[in-house]
Amino acid sequence: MSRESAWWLLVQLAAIAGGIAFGVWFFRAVTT
Amino acid sequence: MSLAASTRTPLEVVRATLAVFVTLAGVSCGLTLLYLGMRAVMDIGGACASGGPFVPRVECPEGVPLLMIGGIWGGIVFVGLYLWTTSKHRVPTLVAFAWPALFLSLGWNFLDYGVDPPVGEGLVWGWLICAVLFALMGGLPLLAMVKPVLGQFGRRAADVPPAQVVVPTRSKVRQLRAASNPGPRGSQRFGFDPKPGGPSGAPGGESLVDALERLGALHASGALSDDEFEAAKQQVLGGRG
Repeated sequence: MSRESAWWLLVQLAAIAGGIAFGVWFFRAVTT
Repeated sequence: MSLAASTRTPLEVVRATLAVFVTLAGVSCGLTLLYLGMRAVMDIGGACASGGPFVPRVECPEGVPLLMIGGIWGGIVFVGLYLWTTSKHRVPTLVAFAWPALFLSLGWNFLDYGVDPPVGEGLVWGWLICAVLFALMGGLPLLAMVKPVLGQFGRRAADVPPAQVVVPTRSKVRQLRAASNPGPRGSQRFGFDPKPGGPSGAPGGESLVDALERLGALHASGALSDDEFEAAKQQVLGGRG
């Protein structure tokens, strides 16, 4: 895997994790 | 970070990174809202209603309907934006995993609540059937897509297989000549002779270019396969060398 590919994989995994974390926080904030 | 293989400027890298991050996070957030909203509804038996002129038997938890609708539509919009962004910036995309992520996450909810329902006791077969269907709908595409999607991240110039060099057979070259020009001066017009080191019909640099162009055209039109094209090209170049 090239450095560029590794970078995009890292960015996208971070985006997925960030989206899940934000979604959980937002859901709790709205429903409680 | 140095992205040596890329021809992007640092500004382009930053832009692409931000765009990919935000749009994919939007997809992920939409799926999460849908997943949690579904669980909230299943916690109260799997069905609820709110608003409208009637008094619902089970009122939906506050904010959940809006969050689920927002999760669905927001997720769809962000999937489109993410696809557009990754295409525009030529970034390997995980968009093919969105469908399996949707169905497997919701299928997990059906399985979890079907085995251990919060309301009543015993298995809820309706939910378990949904779990199986959702697992198939998400799992089978995932199995098919995991290799090509992850393969995007492994590509680099060194991984591209080298072009195959095939030794041309006499009959293959004869077919080639007949297909390209059935006339008596076929080999001359074609610019090479099938016999290595044999007489060449059209000496000079220009005819070599002609021959290569003719081969290229035949290859582009599909008359020659990759192997045949390579073989013929080697023959042309070898005959000249």
